[in-house]
Amino acid sequence: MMSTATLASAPPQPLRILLVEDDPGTRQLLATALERRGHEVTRAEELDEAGALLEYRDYDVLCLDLDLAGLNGLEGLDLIGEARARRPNLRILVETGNGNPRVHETCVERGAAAIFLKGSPLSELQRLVESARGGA
Amino acid sequence: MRKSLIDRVIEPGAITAVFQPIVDIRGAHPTLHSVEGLSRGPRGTTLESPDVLFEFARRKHEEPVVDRAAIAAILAEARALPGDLPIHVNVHASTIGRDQGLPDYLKRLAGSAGIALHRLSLEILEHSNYVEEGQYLGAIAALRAAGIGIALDDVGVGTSNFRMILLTKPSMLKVDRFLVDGIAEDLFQQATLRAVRVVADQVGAVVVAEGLEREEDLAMLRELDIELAQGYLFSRPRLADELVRLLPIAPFGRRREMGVELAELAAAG
Repeated sequence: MMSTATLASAPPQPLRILLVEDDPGTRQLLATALERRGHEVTRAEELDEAGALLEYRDYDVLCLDLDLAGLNGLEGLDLIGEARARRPNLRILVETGNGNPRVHETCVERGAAAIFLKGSPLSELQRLVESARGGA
Repeated sequence: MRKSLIDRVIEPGAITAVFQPIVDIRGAHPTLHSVEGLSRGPRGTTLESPDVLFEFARRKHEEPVVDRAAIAAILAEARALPGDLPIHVNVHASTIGRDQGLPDYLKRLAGSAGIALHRLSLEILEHSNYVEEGQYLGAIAALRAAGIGIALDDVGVGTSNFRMILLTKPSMLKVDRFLVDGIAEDLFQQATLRAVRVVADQVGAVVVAEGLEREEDLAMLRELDIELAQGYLFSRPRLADELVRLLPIAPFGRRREMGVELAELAAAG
């Protein structure tokens, strides 16, 4: 497994990342952090947009905000399940402000490889994206 | 407050249009038959590509509003095309089944764009198995009565199958590229297209082969008596004014003799 020290010093293999985040400021912040690592980031603002992109485009990583406005979280879980079924090799990283371990467990059960707790350092996001494994 | 993504998609000017020739391949030289208007979503967005744009619309169950916006963009751009050139536009079966005002909307749009209704054909596509049959059939009848042609798109894949043929009774069957690309070497594709040919002959429909990219496949389509074809072998989709610059300004009867010009169009990339 790649260590944090290695990540900081060596550029990672560039990944194609679909970032789903409805808040424009957060979207920009997270996308920039990932692009700085050399990754190609597609920015989506809602689930149906992400679902359409996943249907027709290939990505290595789906980075999904579970707390999208107007949704109850279940729709996000549905997209994780759909993405997992459609693209078994897709790495799914869930971003959430909800610290409830049960929510995290449910995400992992549906196929998420890791959870990024909002407010954590961006280096943690980079580490999770780059070390996330396909499959639950 | 920022508008929703769907509202930004259907704003006037957000969707743009390009046109791809549909070519008559029966003679020794391919000749222009008509054009298909194709939509592009807002430039520079994730929805610029039409496959993603319409998948997004379907997921939001907003096919009617996105179809309307796309057709409006295509017909507005089509003003630049020669006044006798038939124009095809795509519409979801679910839109026809749900949008009761569609026939009148098309009449108004075509009227304001100066496009005679008999130049218009709807290429009907469907991605779900549910169509409100009563409303759908009523709308199809109203569209036909107005002089608008009815084609079935994507024949051979997804849900554009025998059910849709039986329900729609189209005068044109557009066969998906899945059945066309590589047909020169594939006996199963050839057998399937022969079957489509038989169905079309029995009901007096025309067959269009989509996604044609190779000369060998064109030769096989001719062997199978397919009338029309569309694809990068002839031309990629182009802006209306770009297409017009590449086409001779001549009456449609003469344009049927323009095999040379189509060859130039293909050479132009």
